[in-house]
Amino acid sequence: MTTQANKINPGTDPVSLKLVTRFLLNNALYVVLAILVVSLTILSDNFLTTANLTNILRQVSFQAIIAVGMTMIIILAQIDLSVGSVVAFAAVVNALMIKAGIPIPVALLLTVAISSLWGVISGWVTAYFNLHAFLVTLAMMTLIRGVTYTITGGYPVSGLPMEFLQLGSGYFAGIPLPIIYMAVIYIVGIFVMKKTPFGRAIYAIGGNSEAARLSGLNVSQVKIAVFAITAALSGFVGIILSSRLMAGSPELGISWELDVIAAVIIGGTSMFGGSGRLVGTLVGVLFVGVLTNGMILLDVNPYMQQVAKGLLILGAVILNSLKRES
Amino acid sequence: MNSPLLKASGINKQFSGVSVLENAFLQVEPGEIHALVGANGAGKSTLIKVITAAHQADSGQIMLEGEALNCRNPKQASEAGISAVYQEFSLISDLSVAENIFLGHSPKTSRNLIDWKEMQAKAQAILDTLESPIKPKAIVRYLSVAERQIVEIAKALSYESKVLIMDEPTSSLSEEDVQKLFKVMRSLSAKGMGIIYVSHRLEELPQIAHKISVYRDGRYITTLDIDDAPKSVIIEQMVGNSISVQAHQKRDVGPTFFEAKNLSSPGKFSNISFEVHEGEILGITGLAGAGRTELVRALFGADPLPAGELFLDGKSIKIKSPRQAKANGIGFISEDRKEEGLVLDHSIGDNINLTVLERIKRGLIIPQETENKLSNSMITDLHIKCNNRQQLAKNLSGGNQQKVVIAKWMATKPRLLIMDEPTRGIDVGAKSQIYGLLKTLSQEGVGIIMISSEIPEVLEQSDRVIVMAQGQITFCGDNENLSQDQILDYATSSTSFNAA
Repeated sequence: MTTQANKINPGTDPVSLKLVTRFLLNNALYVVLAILVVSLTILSDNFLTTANLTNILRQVSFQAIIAVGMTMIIILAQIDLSVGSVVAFAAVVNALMIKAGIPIPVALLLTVAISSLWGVISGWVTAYFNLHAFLVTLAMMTLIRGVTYTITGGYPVSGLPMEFLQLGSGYFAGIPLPIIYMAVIYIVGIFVMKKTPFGRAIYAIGGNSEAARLSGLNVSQVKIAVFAITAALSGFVGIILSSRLMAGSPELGISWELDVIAAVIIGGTSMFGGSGRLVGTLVGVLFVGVLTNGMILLDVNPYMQQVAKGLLILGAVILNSLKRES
Repeated sequence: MNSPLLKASGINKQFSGVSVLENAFLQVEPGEIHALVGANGAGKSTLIKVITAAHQADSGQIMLEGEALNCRNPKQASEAGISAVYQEFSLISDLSVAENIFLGHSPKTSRNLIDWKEMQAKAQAILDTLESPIKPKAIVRYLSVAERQIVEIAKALSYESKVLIMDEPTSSLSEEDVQKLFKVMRSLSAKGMGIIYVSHRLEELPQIAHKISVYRDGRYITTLDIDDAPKSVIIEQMVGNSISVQAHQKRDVGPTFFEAKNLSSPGKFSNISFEVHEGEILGITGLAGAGRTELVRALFGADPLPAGELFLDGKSIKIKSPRQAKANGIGFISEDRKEEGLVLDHSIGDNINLTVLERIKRGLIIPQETENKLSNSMITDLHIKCNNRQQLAKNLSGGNQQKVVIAKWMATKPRLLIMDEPTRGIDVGAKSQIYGLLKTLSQEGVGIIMISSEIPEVLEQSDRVIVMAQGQITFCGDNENLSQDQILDYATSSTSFNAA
């Protein structure tokens, strides 16, 4: 008699093996990051120094802040390609306001508010015409960049007062301000996603938007709010970036949307929506930051650096798919 | 010795170390319609998936006409002569009927391009044998559920199947369409095809099946001739002990609290008026396409309601979204719990709390304890069978998923609960638990609108019955002295009850 036998080898315990696989899959990002950190510490004397680590954190902080909004959007099963353009838009608008004599705090708040309107538009069009945000924000990306170039005629806005430098280059308790901003925004973001009805609505809508709508959630409102938050965060990043550069350049943030999306995906958020964590995103951002930093320290050919980043993203995506299936 | 058409024996299958099939057995003769019954979790679906090679068995043997089969995937099984029509359709909505029928094995011209003429002709020929008026060029999106079913069968026939497996084919069909389907099945079996028929609708079996195999908890229990297997015997075998079916008893209901007046939506329903009493179960039945689901969706604000008025406690209310419906104390349990009821990848707890996020928050946050308490009490009260509240909704059986959907609406403490096909596709045990829940809720004063295609269910459970046909109410009244025949009569009537 023939049998369709696929019997499990009696020597191994399938349950505990499964648990180990599962643990490794769930924590692979942390494990690999730890290995990377240890190897870099051994390979380079300059890696594990306060100065270098601070440097990495400050470098990643800008995109990390935008990634908070992007994580929410991807959990919502949407995408936002316009974040880089909003960065430039805000940098320019804020610089022009300050030059026009508007006090820096007022200019900052106004710029963030105006930037968030771009998100309101993207969210509204997405929700009310029932379009995928990929299409809407693809258009918005070009549109906002165009508006930004038009405002400045293509030139950077420079000649900003020295006080403005503090915003992006200052320190608090010895820590660069961008790192402080990042930390605060992550803490608030994690709280919102975990504890508030708004955060829970984001997960539910991303998981099944029709079920969420039929449960009485205001799906359109949540979508618009999430796009507005992301645009506001992008605007804020544009301001601190222009403060560090002491100029509002319309060229800022080009192709940032891809870096930010990559960090979110590396951090384990599913493009299908409904699942993902901000802590994961932060680790994703750090991963890219550490890898880039390490490759610079080890003097890796810049072209090869791109190859390595590409492999990292590919690996993370495959890992997430394995995780989903296990 | 003649070998049977299909024989599956000694089949074992485990998922993550949990045994779902143990020493399973099934034997089908040519021309036999063989019913496969069992409660949810009995292993029917897994057995079918093993036979169609959608899953690989851990061990065991499948023989087709005396030869051992070793298919690696459903396509190979189809080519060998075993096809399946699943409860969830596998048709591609935007393709034509003919393209769907020949998906993956379309006729080719000598230049290896698709031979459209041949494909249309062959599709037409298959549809003709099914005596179906469906056009091969029709786009599947515009077909009714019953028509899609026929296309699924045609797809199976296109492989010249010897064995056709039908998983719950009648669960979403009206009585009339069920009869049409049975006619098709009988003619196929007359041609020597073996049909494995999975159904929860035990009443249907004597009409159609020759033999019945019963499964329970992943084990083969018995095979009976249909004549030896009245419903009570089958149920006894399925659940291990017998469940008595209660006749409806007339109950006292409270005053009217909800009224709908002259609701109309062009092409869907027209001139619908009715009221709901506190503590009443109002059954709405009718044939598929009668406009029942469309009516309640509009009432709940899930779809627009172009014309008509709604009154709550005598006061006119406007419902433009599910959100407003919820605010007015109305809950809606959709007929499609997977697509519209649950966030499948989220936990039971998250699903239950979804409707009350705003209500249970304190300040800005949702207190964890409130949330846990609510979901735990629902799990206990509704007997949701699960490990704990963190278990994902997708890992529950159909009946338990339905209970989660009911729980999330009970959490809102609704005054009016609309349930669209609340027991569709779930096993007998879970069904009776859900009926019990309906009774309890109504005794607490909740008004319930229950849509059902199963007429016996409507008769047993409802206090009053509305029958709809072609978007109109053709009957509305007490279910006392109402028979199944009368309901069918109203369901096929074209005289509006209001006009009469």
